[in-house]
Amino acid sequence: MSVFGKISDEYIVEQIKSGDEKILLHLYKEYHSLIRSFILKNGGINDNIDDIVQDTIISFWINVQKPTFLLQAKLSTYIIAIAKNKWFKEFKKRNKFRRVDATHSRTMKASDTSINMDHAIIIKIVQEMDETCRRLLAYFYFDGLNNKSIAEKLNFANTNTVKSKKYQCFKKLQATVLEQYQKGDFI
Amino acid sequence: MNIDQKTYELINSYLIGELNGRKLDAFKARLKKEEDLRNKLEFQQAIIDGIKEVRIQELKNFINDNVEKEQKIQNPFLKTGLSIAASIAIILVIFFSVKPFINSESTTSHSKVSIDSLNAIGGLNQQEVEDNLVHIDPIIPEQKLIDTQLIAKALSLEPQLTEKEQDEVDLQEDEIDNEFDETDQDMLSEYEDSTAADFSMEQLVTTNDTFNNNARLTSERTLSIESDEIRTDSIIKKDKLLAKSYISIRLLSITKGKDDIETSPDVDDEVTDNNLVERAKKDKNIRINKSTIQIEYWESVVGFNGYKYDGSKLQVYGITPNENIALSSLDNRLYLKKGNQYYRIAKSNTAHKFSPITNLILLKVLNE
Repeated sequence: MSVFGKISDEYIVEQIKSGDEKILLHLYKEYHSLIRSFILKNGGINDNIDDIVQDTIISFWINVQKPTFLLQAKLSTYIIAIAKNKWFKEFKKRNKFRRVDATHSRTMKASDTSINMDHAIIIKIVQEMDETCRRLLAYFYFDGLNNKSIAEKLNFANTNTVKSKKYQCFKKLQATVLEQYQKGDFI
Repeated sequence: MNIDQKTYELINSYLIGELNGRKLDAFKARLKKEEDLRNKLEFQQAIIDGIKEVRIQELKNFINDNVEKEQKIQNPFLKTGLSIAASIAIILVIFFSVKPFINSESTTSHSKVSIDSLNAIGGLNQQEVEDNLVHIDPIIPEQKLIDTQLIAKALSLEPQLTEKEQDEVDLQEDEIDNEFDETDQDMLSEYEDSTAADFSMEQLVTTNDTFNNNARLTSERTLSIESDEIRTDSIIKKDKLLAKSYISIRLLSITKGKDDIETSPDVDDEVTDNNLVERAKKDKNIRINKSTIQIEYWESVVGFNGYKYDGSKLQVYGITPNENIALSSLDNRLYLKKGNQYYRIAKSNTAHKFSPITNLILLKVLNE
């Protein structure tokens, strides 16, 4: 952080890599008006803005967690680039749906619903699992934190505890999911 | 489908990109050959996608919750600030909206007076000026009018009062007379003050001293008319002076042997009857001289029995000139004797009721 109170790009990346969620709020407030202005200039309306800003910030979060991430431009440029991609993707999706005829739309919706149903059930099971397991798996798979960082965040004794706990949580989740579905759905 | 820890860790390494080189090639070769491993990979990938989805939703909720909280925190301040700003704005708008009217009203009143004064200068007659000034209603004189009317009513319509009430009414009666005289003066001075105040403002515009004098004279005239009306309405009865005469005073002084111990007039008021009695007991020697005093016999309209003694003249109420009275002075204190009863006469500017003396020793001394 600079002496003038302005948070530097490096500090933001560092905080994201350490899994500090509070930095998301700063990014949201910092870039909301910029992204909003871009969307409104490019055919968007106010209703789309909050979702796009959130998606942009979280995509940036996910990208930073990747081992290959390297910030070579200004953070604002990088985030606006993500926002542009998000908005154009959303814009194309909306225009595409407008051109689809009613019958095809019904078919597509039925197909999407069946896919989403499986995904939604897994999401529901994940949401309902105990908090420690959910956070541990989220830190590992989503935030990309290593075992040491997870041990620090969840107050585990060491990395071996994280490793074994992680497998136990996954196994538990697997068992719950398998209970919900017939084996044939996954085999 | 059961994924053991080793397979789980291997799939994890593949999915997060940790496998490379020969290990990665070997894993890909196994995926081609082993359908079970492909199923396990697909299953594990589905669960990881679910975990990621939940995490994204958690982060979105975190952002939403905190942004809403901050907005809620900020909103009250914003609302309060906006309310204050709006209130100030409204007050300012009202103030600036009303101010011209206030100014115009005051300007109008000033201008009215100014116009009047200019008209007066331009030749308006005295009656027209008087008509304008009659609209100035003095409050205090009006209050006094009400008071005097009420008192006059009380004097005329309620003769059957208790002694105490009679005393009070009688005292008020004298004050009323004075007040009437004072009222005229007060009203006049207040009129003059208000008129002077009004015209002092006017002077800023017209600087017309002549008109001020005319206006003052007019107000005096108006006032005298009103005062006459007040007097006509309110004074119905007055106390009546029956007679005036001079009466001798028996001066009694207590002496101690050869030394004369006549009390000094300065300490007269502080000497009590009891002190005199004590001294009379001790000394037993009383010297008697004589002096005179003017006495006025008054008939009170409310039947007041009492006196007023200013040190040189004694006004008595409720005693006729035909009645036998005597005055005695003991140590500069005056005592009136009517029949067999002595009354203490106190020097005062106000009237007092007769109060009989009951102290036997004092009575004995007075009767010496």
